[in-house]
Amino acid sequence: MKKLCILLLVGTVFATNPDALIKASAALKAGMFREALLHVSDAQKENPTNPGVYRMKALLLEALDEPKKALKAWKYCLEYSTDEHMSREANIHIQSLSEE
Amino acid sequence: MKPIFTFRVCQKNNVNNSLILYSCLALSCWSGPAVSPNYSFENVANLEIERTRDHSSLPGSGEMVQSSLTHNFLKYGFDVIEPDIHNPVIHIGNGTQVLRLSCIITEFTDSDVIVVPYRHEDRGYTKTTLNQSSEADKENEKAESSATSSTTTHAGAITQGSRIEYTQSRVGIMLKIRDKNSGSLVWSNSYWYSGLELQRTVDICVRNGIDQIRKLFQ
Repeated sequence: MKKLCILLLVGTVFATNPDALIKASAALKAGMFREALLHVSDAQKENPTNPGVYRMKALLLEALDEPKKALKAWKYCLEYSTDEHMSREANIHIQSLSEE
Repeated sequence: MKPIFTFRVCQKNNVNNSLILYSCLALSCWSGPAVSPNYSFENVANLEIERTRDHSSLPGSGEMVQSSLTHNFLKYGFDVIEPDIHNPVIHIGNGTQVLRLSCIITEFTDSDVIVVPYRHEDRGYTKTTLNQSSEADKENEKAESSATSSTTTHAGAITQGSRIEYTQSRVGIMLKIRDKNSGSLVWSNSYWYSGLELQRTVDICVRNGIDQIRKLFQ
């Protein structure tokens, strides 16, 4: 009797990347803003209502000279923020970027 | 299908409405400058910039901010006269009055630690194992094969409490304009800004201030 055992991993239902924010933080510290932004975008999929992720993304976009995208990220940060200080920071950035 | 589509459109509209609402809130939270209602800014000839002192945390910060002040005035189209680096003069118009602009650095750091708490959600996965076997029967000259499959679903887990850290720059300034002859304060406001790069943060913080000052003389 000949037996064939085929192990198939049909699929991971949702891909998860637990290291996305850690990688983003490391890339940011190394000054690799473009790479950090890619990782932050991955982290954003896992944490879609985390204002800290949107703040990090917005700061990266500003550093990369993409004011329109940064403005959008700050607005999301403000929307999800429950911290007064973070909301104030978002307000200041939104005002500054809106005037550009 | 139609109700689902309508629901999605509504959801999108809600997000847009929220963004508009928060934009309005952002604009309403912006603190405006204090301006003397009796002062005539049309009659100003020059704006003298006083020397900006260093912030206690960083020697050289005063010069950075001062350079950014003149840079931004020049960028907005003003004539900048800089006989010596510490006493620049901005030519405003053909009036007779002279104003003096002073800048105090209230905050100057490039290592403000930001903590981002996050939640990692392992949403699980589905694994299917397929077992296949075949047997040849010599007597009946038949071949039989069978296959079985089993599916295992892993539920996943939610991990909370993780966090990462990074640093950002924060710069704060206070700008004041006085009439040189009378000494009366005619305009003042404070600004702060954050960013990943110190130089850029200084520049945007100062630019936000100069942008409001230039509107006085338009």
